[in-house]
Amino acid sequence: MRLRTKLLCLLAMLALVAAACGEDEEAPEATAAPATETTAAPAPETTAAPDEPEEMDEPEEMDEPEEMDEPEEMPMAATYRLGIFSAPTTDNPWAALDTEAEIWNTYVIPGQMSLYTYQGPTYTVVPALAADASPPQVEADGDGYSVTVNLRSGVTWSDGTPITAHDAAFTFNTIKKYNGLGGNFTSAWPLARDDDPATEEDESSQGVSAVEALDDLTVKISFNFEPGLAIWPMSVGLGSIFQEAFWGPIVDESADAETLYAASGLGAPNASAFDSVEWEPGAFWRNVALDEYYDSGSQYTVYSSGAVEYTQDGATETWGGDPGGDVLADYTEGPFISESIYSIYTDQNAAVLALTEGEVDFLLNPLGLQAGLRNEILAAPALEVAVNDQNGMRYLAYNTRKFPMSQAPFRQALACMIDKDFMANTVLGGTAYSINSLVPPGNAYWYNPDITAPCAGQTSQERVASAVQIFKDAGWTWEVEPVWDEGNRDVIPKGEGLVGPGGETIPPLTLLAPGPGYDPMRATYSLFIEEWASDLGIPLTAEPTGFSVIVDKVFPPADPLGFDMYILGWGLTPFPDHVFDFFRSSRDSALGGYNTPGYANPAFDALAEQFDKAKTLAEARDLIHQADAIIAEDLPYVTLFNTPLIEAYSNQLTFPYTTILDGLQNVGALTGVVTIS
Amino acid sequence: MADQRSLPEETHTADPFGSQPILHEVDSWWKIRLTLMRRSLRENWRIFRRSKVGVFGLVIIAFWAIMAVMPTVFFATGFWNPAVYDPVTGLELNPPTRTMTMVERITDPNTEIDRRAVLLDGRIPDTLQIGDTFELPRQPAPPDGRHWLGTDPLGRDVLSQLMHGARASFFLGILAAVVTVVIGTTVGSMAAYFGGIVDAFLMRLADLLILIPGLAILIVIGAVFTFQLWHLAVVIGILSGFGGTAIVLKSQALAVKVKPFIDAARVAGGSARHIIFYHLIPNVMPLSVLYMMFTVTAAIQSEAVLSFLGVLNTDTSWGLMMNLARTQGYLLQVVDFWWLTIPAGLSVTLLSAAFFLVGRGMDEIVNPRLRRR
Amino acid sequence: MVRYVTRRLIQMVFLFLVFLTVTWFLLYILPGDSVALKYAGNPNIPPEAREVALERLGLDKPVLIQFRDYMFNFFQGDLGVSFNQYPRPVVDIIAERLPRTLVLFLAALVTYYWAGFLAGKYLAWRRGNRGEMLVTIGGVGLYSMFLPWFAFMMIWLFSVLLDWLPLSKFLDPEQWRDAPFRANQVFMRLFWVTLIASVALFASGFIARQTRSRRLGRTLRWGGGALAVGGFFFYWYGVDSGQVMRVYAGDIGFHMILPVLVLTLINFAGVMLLTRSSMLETLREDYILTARAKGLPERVVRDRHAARTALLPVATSLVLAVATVIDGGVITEAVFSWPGMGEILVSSVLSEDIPLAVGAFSFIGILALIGHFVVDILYGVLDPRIRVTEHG
Repeated sequence: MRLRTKLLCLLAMLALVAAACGEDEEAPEATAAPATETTAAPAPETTAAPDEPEEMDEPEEMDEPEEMDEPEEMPMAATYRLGIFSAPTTDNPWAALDTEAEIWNTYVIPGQMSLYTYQGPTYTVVPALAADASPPQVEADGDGYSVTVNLRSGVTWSDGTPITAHDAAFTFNTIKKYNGLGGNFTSAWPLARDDDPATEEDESSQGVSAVEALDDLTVKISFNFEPGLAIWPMSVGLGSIFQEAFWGPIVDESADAETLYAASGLGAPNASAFDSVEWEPGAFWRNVALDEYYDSGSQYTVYSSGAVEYTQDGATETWGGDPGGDVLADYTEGPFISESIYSIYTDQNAAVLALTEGEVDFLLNPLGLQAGLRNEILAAPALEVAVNDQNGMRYLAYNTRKFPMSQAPFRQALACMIDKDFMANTVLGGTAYSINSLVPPGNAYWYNPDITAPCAGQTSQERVASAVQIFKDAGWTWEVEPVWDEGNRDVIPKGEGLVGPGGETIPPLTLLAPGPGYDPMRATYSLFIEEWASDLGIPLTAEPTGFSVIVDKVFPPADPLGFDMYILGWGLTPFPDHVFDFFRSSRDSALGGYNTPGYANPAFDALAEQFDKAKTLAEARDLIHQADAIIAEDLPYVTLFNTPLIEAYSNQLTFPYTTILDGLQNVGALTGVVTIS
Repeated sequence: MADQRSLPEETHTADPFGSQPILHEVDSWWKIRLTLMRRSLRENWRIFRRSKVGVFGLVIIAFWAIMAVMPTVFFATGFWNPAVYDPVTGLELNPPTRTMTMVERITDPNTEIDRRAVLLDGRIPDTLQIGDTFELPRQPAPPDGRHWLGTDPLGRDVLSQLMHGARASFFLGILAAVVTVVIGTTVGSMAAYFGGIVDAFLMRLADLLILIPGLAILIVIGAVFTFQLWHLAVVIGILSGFGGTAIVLKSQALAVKVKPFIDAARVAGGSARHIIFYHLIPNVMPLSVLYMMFTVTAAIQSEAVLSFLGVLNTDTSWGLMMNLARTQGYLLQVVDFWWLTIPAGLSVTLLSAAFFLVGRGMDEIVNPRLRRR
Repeated sequence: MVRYVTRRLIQMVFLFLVFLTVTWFLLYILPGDSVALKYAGNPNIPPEAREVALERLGLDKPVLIQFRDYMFNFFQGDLGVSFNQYPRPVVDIIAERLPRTLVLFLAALVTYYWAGFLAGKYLAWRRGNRGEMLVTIGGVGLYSMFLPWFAFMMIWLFSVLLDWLPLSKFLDPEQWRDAPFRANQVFMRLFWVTLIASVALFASGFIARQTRSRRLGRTLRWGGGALAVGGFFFYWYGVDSGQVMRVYAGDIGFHMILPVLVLTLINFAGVMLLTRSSMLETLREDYILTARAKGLPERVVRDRHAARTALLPVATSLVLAVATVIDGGVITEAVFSWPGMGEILVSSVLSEDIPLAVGAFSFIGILALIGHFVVDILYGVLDPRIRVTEHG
């Protein structure tokens, strides 16, 4: 009885859909993707005759040749369709640098200006707003120190007004007004907490005390301490600068940072070639190219030495040293697209389908695509591939505050047993590669190629022998010594009753590692480490633990003795000051820092002090190399493996370069220079 | 639990065993009870057998029960070497290989690779020229004589994981169901018998638990504890036992409470404990066994979903197998890597459906009005 | 009755307070905090920033003070600001997500209740034949489907293999370029227009059933139906506001087909089995036997007499399902990139965004409480067999 009425209701819904799809056909937009039309066209028939799939296929096949022809008919600049995996959490560029410092916000929000910036693909620090090819030196100035930077003329905001020294001063004064902003601002614009020169012991009061505009094109930055390379230019020089004309009135009205962050930043002037025009929460974000971008048409040539040749209006400058080596990239600044649309896919598998089906051109993901998609990517001839080194590491950390992890021989012997290449190539099926240093090889300038893994290249038999030898040399003893049995390809008997040189017995140890649900690679790794430890007679249990539980146990200073070992990962920055931050004793996690192992080595700390004061890149690199080598020998961390960053994109896209540390995603998929055929 | 679903909430008013004789002799009580139980079991089996869907479900459960036992047999007889077939640490050291030819543009991704593959797979040397061939180890490997359902991306046997997953599902489902039934019948009977404040408290507690969005709260709890399988079972049991099941069983207990034999027992001086445990609960039990079946279904599904989302810390489970396929990107390669998703997905479906079907079959016993005339 | 309702209301408020407290503390005791999780893998952000953030989010205060402040603000209608979308008010976020979830899941709910009810009626009537067994096993099989897996299989089938339906998302960005509306406006319009049309349909059907004359009934039913459907189309094609929105509403509707289909296939069996049991019980009632004995046609007995009474439990479960509709979509929303309330629930819990999570939980709690309340009252009013007792 009600069946009929309900049926009508359903029909009405279907008709609505059909009507809407009919609409598509009536008004095809010039830039509409072929894929949209393919799905839209057969839809009315779908609803009318669901049991005739044969007919469905025909229009699809007919569309295929059209897909090839269409680009030729459309000479106009194209739409760049990108997929992202999580919705932006704010449209306010201030918030996006503070509490909302999430990669997804960074992808979609057009960038702000800075004095210097990283130049891909080498991550050379080159001038952006500054005029000097290399950052000017800091000089003593009264009680403190200061640096005076000349600015380039002709650099404009997206609204066409020039970017001046006043904008830089405004940015700093805003941060000062709110008594310091959090997140990235803390490092980009560290605020001097004290106008007097800061003492060396009191690191937290060190910072920038003033930023003044001497005139439109000269800015003076004052410090209350003598900053090393890590602060100037590597932090302050790269700090964002906001437009005073737009943000000034908003800041004036905002009593606290919260009010400032709540203001909408959609369409706010920025320093990129794009303006944000639309944000449909949960669905997409759209940026359109500027009619006039100040840097359009500039010519960049990047050499493998890191040097950059920059030509604007016929004048050529050279940045970052003398040109040498291969040309890694040679391109003209765009934009060559009319707009970029960022669609949100909450499921990565669905997003990959969207890519293979041609619904999007590029997927932005800090982790790249999963290795399992290799076959699917290869099976799609319309996809190009970029595989890059990831600037990061998965590592095993020892709590060096506790016995036996406090003993270097213990750390070394266990590390010796870990066959990283076997794990990466065999167990993980070639989806990961082993790493040995704290700076990954992809970060070419800072990478120390001399570092090797403990017991590198040894067979299982040799590893057992080496580990036993390390223990013996340090005076450790067993009741039953572990022996490699070549016949059974196993350690028989396993070690038993291992005691330290002073007769200390080893308490049961726990290895915290992410569970197989969170990261199967690290979970599996932890099980193998457990096995190798038991071969040596170390009572180690791998415990699959929730990510937040591990974070809670190792990072806040609550109980520094609350864990034995753990496996986690880091994502890193091109400037590798993390090498010192992770291990210097003043950064002990018990004091709120990132030194979770509680590693304290006076020699290492001395290097860190030198690094703080280093003024040149060469000097800093030498110190990083030394520090990296110390850690690789002393092993508070055992670096385990890294996964390659796989990116696949439509072969309609042409990038000036695809080999870059952390992949194309790290440079926002190069919206400013990509061309679409 | 997984998504918007409504378990049928039915009104069960019938007394499943008919009126029970009043028994005062404690000594003979159990004997008579046993005889009655045996008789009623036989009778119930007769009724159950008539329900085809119930029997169908039982057959599936039996199949999975055998599957769950198999690994023990295989390992004990040496048919499976733990180093290779262990569901967690097993590893196929010599995976099958496939000869791939280097070409300019791939036409058959099963036998050809192009320069993109060199970038994608660290194991392929970058010295390969067009026309060269390369023996590429396959991991995950498709089914063959050694691994009947292939291996997963970490080189472990899929069949072994499937069998261990069945074990985990049985363990989880049955534990959750037992906890539910114990709590549900006790709470329901107590609420019905005592009424008043006890009833109000227990029923409001039940309301509270029904309010909570199940999956979200399991994720919360999963983050607080290092969540293992039996934790999950107990939590599901508590949520369902104090929640929905308690409400249904209370209404059943209310119907039993007004039966003459309860009054008789009370008049004869039976304590509250005696009446609840010897008269109310046994009469509510059949219905609660029915709900037990539905709890098993819910528990299996919850576990699968939580594992799939990567919230649970289990070694092996069907949900985890799907999670691995998802996080490694094999989920939608349905044709090329079917053994990674279809067996696990189908198993979850089949086993939970089986328990549900058995529940339906038992419904016919518990609820005589549904029987065929 | 009045006394009962008052008492029930007071209990509800108390229950809600307990619910709120429990969820707040459950979320609070989660290991780590929102700030730690956010900064854990990012050495870019110095430890000092952590303290700034903690202070800003109020996480540096003692637990009880935080709780007191939260409760105090809550009852003034201020649900706080989200930690993760700082400083966006929680109410804002819920207002953004709610329409999306409502439209998708109500559409699915209506479809699968309708399908389930029809199938259940069939099963009860065709008791014992082979069809019954097949439909039951098939239905239970679908009902027990492992949802995420099934949803992906359906996406693969319909969007990749057949290429009939969109992959995921609720709109096509390129079609929405420079759209004069926000998606939520369209969602709300879609919601109201469809609701009004459905209510009109339902009303005409209901009135038609009340009339004794068959002819009048038929006229009413068809006339009313035609009017509702006609009105529906007139709105989208005839009225200006409808015309401009039609393309966008259609796009959303097109994207809804696959998730609704998946939800229907998975869920209809539950309703089907419930209807079947309920029908079977009704069929044994004396008045049905009488109706049959009178020699009334089977169809009339089935549709007029049995189905109507059997509807009560189904309607009850429908009310409860509506009340819990927004917490349902955790998986569905994730798989179909349909960011709604379900997505909030999971993401806010995982990132320990306490205000957002408690806000979403409390919203769901309130809806569920109201649902249960309505069901209790409905039962009291509709079914004379169930007397409202003091047992509550």
